[in-house]
Amino acid sequence: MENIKEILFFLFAFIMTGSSVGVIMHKNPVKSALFLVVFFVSLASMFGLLGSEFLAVLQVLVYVGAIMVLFLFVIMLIAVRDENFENIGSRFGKTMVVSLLITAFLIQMTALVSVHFKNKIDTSAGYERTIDASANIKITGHAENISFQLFEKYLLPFEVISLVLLVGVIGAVVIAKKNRRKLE
Amino acid sequence: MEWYESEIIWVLIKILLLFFVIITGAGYYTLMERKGAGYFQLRYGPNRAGIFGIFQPLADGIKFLLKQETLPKNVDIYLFLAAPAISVITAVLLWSSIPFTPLIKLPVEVLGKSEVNLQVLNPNSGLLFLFAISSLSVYGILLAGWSSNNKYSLLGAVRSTAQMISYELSLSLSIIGVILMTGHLDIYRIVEAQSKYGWFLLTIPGFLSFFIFIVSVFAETNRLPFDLAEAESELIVGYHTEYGAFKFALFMVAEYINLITISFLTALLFFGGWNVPFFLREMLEGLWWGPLVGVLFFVVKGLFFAFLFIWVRWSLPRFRYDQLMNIGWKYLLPLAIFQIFLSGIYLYIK
Amino acid sequence: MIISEIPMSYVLILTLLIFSIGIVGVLTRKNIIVIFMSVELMLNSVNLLFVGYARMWKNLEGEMAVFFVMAVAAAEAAVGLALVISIFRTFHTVDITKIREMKG
Repeated sequence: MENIKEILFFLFAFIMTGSSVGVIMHKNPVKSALFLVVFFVSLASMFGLLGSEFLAVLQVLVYVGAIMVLFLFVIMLIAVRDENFENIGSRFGKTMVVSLLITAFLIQMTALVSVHFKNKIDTSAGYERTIDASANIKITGHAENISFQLFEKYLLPFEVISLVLLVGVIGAVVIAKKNRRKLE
Repeated sequence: MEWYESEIIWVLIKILLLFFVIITGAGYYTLMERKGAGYFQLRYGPNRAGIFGIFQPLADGIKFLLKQETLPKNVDIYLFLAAPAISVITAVLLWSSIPFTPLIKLPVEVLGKSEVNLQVLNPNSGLLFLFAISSLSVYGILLAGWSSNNKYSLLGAVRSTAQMISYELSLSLSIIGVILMTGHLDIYRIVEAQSKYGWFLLTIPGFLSFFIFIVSVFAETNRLPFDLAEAESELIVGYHTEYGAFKFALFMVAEYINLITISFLTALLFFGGWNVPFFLREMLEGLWWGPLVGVLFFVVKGLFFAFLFIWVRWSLPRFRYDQLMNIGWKYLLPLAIFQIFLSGIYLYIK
Repeated sequence: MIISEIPMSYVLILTLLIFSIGIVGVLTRKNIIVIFMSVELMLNSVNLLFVGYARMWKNLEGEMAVFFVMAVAAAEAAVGLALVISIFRTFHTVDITKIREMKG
């Protein structure tokens, strides 16, 4: 039972990778969106596994409960169901080269970052292979701690974010309204 | 290590116990609804299976099991089958973080533990957890409507989803008053706080937030007067038109489980949960079965709200769709924001 | 009770994998909505990285970043989907290769 966290990690990692491949490969946008829902739920579980319970709950509440429902709604609204679905393979070869290059670049960057960290603290054995689980509770992820941070240190960004959301809502309403002057 | 020392086994026992209690409860809630409907309409309701129709839920269950499973021709088969399962899973999952009892302090020799709590897990952000899980229940409806490949189903699903999203806003804003007054998201602590300050219903912002909560809940669970999703007379039955046999039964079970959850949650948040009246509190001090009396009070409160749902359903007519949206966005949402403001002032003065 | 922790490198590799999948999605698909969803994939993989590092340094800053990313993503999704709807109204398609008003 000692490495149960690692087993769970691999389980969720497998689900996440599989469902994200599903998102980009599936022909039907509705199914893609549903794969994304699976991805978000397993990502939330991963957050919980990494110890930020509050973010896990928030992830489900915001992404799965609100954003993805909106996505599905729009997909159903514009009825892509009857359209001829695109052929995934047609542009795959060309873009694969670009994607591989970008991925290689990212791997390079990650390696650089980890080398940089290695000089500062010893993360060679992953990090903190063994921690006392009960002592950990104080440190991360609980609603109280996050709210203290939010209303003391990050008060200004918090207010700015609320403005951003307000502007977003108004903008969405204005853009989505039927425009009178139709484009010919 | 003895078997009773393992935490996992205790959790499994709790889960099994809860599951059977909830499923049975949902069954008997349907009986209560039918009986209630009968008496509201001056008839008897089911009274053939056993005395007072006590075996009626069992008979219904067997009937649903024995019916032929039909699959319509042009449905999306995986999603079609997944939809009722998602509904039931989210409904049952909600019960994992609802506390029924205070910590029961037992003599160690009875069970090998000194403290027993009937809550399966106690997340630090319990209320948010509940709302997160309940926001997943939209998917059951949306998928059922979409995969059935049927106009009525899709219309019902879209209506229902729009309605649930709109009212979820005022629902989640309405509990902010309670959270502000307690300072915690943990349901257990919210109930404990009410033993100090009295029921939240009796405070001014608490009453307002209860009002918003209960109205949004009717919309959220697709009950009359807001049952636009099913609307028998317009949309046949909405999103589960194409479902038959046990798949239909699963939708029904999910709906009734949700109703029970909501009624018990109302009792927890606004009516003091398992707190007993003050004159009983001193009598029960120090007795190990004292908490069980509290549970009795809690169940009675919960059942009252369960009855309220039936009462309203058979008394009020249905709203029109535009009226529903107007109430949600133009009245309830501003009221909910005002209620947050009011709770702030209330706390400041206090 | 001692529970072994997940090594940071695992989280890093998983994040990379999902981010790359997101990039492939953005580059290969033609449907605007699916492209949008791939962007969400990339955003969330970075969120995972933030949480992993927050855990590693025992610091809440990373989690706060995720919090703000979520809020911005919500606003972005609302505006983006409104744009998709208005594009569909004007061009009657969501295929980006068919939307070529500016191409002359």
